[in-house]
Amino acid sequence: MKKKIKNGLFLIPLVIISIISIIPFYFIISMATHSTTEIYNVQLFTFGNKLLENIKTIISGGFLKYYWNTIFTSVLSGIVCVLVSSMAAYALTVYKFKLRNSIKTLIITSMMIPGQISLLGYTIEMRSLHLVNTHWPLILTWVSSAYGVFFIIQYMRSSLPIELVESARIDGCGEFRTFISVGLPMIKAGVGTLHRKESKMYQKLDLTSIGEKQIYPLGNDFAGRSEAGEEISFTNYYMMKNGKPFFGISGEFHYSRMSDSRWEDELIKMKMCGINVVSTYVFWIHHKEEEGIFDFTGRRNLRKFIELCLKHGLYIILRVGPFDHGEVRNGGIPDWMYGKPFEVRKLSDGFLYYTKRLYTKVAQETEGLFFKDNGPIIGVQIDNEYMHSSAPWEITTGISNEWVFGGDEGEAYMLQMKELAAQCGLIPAFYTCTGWGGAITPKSMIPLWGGYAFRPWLFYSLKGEHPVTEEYIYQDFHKNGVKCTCDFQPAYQPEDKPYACCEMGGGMTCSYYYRFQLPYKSVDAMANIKVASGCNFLGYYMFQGGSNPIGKHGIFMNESQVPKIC
Amino acid sequence: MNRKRSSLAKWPYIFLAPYVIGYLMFFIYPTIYSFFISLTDWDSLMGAAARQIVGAANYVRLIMKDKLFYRALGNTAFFMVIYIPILILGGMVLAVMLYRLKKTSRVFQTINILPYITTPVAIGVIFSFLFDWSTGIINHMLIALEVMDEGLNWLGSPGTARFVVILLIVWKNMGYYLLIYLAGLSAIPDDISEAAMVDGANRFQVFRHITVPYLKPITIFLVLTSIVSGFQLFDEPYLLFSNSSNSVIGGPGRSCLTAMMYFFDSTFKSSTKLGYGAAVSYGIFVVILIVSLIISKIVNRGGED
Repeated sequence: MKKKIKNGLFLIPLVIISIISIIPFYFIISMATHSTTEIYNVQLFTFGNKLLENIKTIISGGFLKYYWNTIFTSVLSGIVCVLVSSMAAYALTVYKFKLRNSIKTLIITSMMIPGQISLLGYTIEMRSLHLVNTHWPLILTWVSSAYGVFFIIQYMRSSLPIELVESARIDGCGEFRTFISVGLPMIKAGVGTLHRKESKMYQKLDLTSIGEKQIYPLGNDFAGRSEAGEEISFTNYYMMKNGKPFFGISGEFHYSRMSDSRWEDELIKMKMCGINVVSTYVFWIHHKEEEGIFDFTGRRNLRKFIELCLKHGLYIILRVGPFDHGEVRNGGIPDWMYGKPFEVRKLSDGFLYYTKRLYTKVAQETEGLFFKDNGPIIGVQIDNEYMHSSAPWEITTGISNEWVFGGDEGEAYMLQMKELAAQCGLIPAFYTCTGWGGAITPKSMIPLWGGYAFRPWLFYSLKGEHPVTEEYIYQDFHKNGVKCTCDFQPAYQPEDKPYACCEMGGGMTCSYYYRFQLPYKSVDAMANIKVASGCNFLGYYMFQGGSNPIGKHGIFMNESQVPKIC
Repeated sequence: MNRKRSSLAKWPYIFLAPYVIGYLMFFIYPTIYSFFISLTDWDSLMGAAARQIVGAANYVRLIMKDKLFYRALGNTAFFMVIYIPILILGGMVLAVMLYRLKKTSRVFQTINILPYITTPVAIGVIFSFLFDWSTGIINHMLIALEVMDEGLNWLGSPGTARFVVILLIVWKNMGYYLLIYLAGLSAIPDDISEAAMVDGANRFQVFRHITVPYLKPITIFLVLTSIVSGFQLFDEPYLLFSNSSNSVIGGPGRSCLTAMMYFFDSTFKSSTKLGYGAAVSYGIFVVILIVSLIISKIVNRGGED
């Protein structure tokens, strides 16, 4: 009896440790059955009903192709490795010859050398053999597996009787036939365990071959004509005005962050700096702080701002949201949207209803000011960094720390929002969206890019070293298959669309823990780098400073973690 | 007879040929080529034409000036110093416990080996989810149990980030150590411990004076292989910090930058200096070599006593 209890005592730590071992697997399985929102709301102890939907998503994301790559390379490298290693091991076990011992020693010694040593040389070798970006580098490395030969020698020693080989020879088998019919089957059991997966790091770094550009127009989705007969359009390489290349230089100016009395002065200064396109967010929260009450007066007078741009011959790209980020409270979503019985940035009747009201109102305010009506608005950006970024719900900060939904509906959301904008009367020459960070870039919109000299969005508890930025390296953003060193991973072929920018951040405002010292050169240098790297539509973010208005109820319109200036 | 032998003589070379050719082409050549690269100044964006031979300059910079290299080695060593003893001790104690439960032992073995055979990518992702600051389960549980008032930013500050990396390694590898020790235990003859028990030794004494010494060869094997593989630690900490938009490698304040991560980063990611990257890899190799030599010296001396 006593002994049993003692055994039971041993069981307790074992059970606890086993639970710890297995519980993350439980979470993986339960994660697979939930939507992203549910995961963020930590509903992982129970199972959800989104399994099929999730499977559909990964399959449409090309998962089967990736899986096929894995299967293909592992099966082929398995076969190659087993065949080559067993032949070598067979030679070293069955025959006696001069070099036998030295070869064996060499193989055992090379097992001690970590594979990473040869990695770099191997990568370059593969590049010079033009095998980079094929399956071959993953397979060929197994031809030289010292571990494989060693393992099979050990196995042959115990399971391949040399007499069998000799009797096969006497029966008239050739040497190769003996190996196939006696050697291979005997080691069959051993080779199964040999082949393991190994991850290696091969990257394509090749900027050498730059061919001639195929330039062609992008069609009606990217073109507009004004009543006066002017025309804006795009080729896959650059923007055109009246059929001639047009170099857009856009500067970001958030009108609601500056007193309207200063607008005209500032716009004239921008024009003098060479800016020809003004880009601005229309912050939902600035215009509709209280539910049901729109405010388009004073510094929120969008129409006045656009008319000033018209007066001074500046084009406009409106970034109408609904979500903007823009370093504003809730990323631009009004506080009263929090707690509504639907998710923001997700297609539902509720969200579409409120977005429609916003778009309709913006369309009313801007009526007659679009390019087609001889107005300055040439472009409209839908959402911002959809499925890439989000912002804190400020009213929950310090309470439940919730975040605005980041989006999970891909092109469906972007296209429906674009459709909605058009229905409501927001009809520019072209629609845009942001391209970086894996954001969604539908075919019918111009993806806009950017880059920052600093990365203030990193939450560091230590004010330590800041990461190196790759924004100051010349590369080619308009070449198919090019591997850039920075965060440029378009979901489309780079040669199919122009490389245009809307957020070149040579500097950054003070935010979070950071108080940047901004060398002015970094702004200049970035423009230089972008142009040289294939960009012919620059976009400075920000070009104009400003500060958020204080809300009607004393609420700061800032993100809570940035300094408050008013 | 003589003719027969000479006709056999070519066969081992024929069988060896594919391997030896592969070995020379895909192992020896790249290894030597890496060394050659480490003597050059070569930016991978520039192509081979822009390569310049600079002699030992890369090594001089590595040894004299590169604080980050030492930091990465230091981090790696720090991780090993903490997790290897935990794994050795934990694996041994668990194995002894499991060994006593003859019937259910299989179930526990299978459960505990699961983390070891799971791909590192999945593990990095699970852990970054579990320990997420605002949405992670760990924070939610700790708050629910009223251990803390607000969530800890586990992956955001150096101390806790290191803790998570060590936890991850221990969690992943415990099953492997357990399995190896179980195999070792089955080789210890039962009669010795029975005799000791008859002589009045208690369980702890049997463990201390019989089990541990008998397992010594296995412990040595595990320590040696852990150190060599420990210097190659890459996947798990790399993936743990890779799903944020953060493109700096190595976690908060570089607190979890391991030697191999530094090699990868300096060669392929934030810098493209192939020459310097190759020097880093050879630097790591030399450190591994020296440490293995020292350890095997110590172990061998211990064996003579």
